Amino acid sequence: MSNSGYNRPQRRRNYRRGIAISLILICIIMLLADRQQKSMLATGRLTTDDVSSKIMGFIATPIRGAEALFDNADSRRNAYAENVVLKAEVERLQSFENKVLDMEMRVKRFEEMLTMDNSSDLPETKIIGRAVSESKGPFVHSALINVGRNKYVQVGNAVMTSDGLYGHIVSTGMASSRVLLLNDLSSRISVMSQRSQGRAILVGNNTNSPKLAYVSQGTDWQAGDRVITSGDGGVLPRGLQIGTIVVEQDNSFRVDLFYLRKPVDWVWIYPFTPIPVPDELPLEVQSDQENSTQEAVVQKASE
Amino acid sequence: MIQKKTVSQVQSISLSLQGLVIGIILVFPALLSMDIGRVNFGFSFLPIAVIYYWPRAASYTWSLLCVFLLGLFYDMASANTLGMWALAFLVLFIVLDGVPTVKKGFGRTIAGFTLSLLFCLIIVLLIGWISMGKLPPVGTLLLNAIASVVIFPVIYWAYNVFNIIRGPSEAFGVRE
Repeated sequence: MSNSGYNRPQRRRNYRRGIAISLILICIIMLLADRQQKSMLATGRLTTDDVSSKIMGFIATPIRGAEALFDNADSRRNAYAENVVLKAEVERLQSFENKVLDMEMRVKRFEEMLTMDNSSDLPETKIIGRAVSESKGPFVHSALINVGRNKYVQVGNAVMTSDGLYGHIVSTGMASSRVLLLNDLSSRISVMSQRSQGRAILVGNNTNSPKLAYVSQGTDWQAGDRVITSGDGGVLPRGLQIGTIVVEQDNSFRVDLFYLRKPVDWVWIYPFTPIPVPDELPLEVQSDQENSTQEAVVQKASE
Repeated sequence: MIQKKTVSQVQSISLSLQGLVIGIILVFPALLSMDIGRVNFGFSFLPIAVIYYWPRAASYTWSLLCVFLLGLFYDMASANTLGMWALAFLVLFIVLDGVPTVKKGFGRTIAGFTLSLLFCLIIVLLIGWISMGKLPPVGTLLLNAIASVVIFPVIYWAYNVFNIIRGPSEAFGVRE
């Protein structure tokens, strides 16, 4: 009789139970630790994304083809009706064309008179990539694109489709990047109405229609208003189109996203550098900026 | 008992690792998301098929570890909170371990898979609730579950083809 008092199978069962319970506990600890920041095993995530982007790029091709097939069939079925609507739209917009050109000329003149910085917030360079996999599950709405640090993509860069804003970069690997979509639960974007310039925050809720929160008091929001990025906070450039307003029965607002109009394949990334907080700039840079500002003032005065 | 004698320790560990590799392969189609019209769906529950078909003769301890790693890989690849799928897979694996191996035929197999999937769905729903702080959209989860069940016959067929190629082997039988 062994001195342990119980036989080997029993000991083995206990050993297995111990391992099972330990692994379950590890899972629970990871779940609790990672649920807010999603920063655990960051290197592992990036490596997985790099591997996934290559494989998904290959296996997603027939899926995109199938989606395009349905999309094309839908377009063909509605071609006549859409054509009629588009013709009416073109007629309506022709009258606006002259007004817009006139206004553009006047604005340009005013900007010159006021010596304003008339450069657009939108960067001129674009990085083209392909959304190789989209995860629109019940827990997360994100996408994997096949460009990363190799193309100078940075965390925070805005990602666009031909229809509108898609999301922003949350992590970059060597040859892949993870995009947090606008409708993800943890997505928060400062937006404004293009018509009334009222400010709000677009809050993702894991559905196709994110909601507007923190709508500024006394501002005018109406159904059909175009929603664009406000550029507040300096994280995203101003003026990226997002969607249109839908008013709910309880008078709350949600946004019909433009990017959901058709399946997403090709995207482009704006390499936008967020405006740094002055306090966070190194002292040398601050003093350089001050010197250059003083020089500019002196130069203007002498002129 | 015959099984324990005929399968060496190396073979049983190898079977666990095979399960892990096939599971990782199945993770990629599970990451796919399709937009047909206004409906979006994916095959999120597809990797459950591997746990359902996990080799009976595989080392239990190694299998636990492999299932944990599979879940962790799925969490990382799908950008989910770490531990969510790992916990769901582990619990499912532990529960399925005691299931009697009598199910045969397509009907019973798909019924067994659907039950496993529903069990996993409930676990994932609960974990998601705790993790996100609000109940995940049940409709989306159900749609993904249905899509996974619809695509399961392909895996059933692939598994049977694999069995025909490999030939009958009691030792390498699976927990059907």
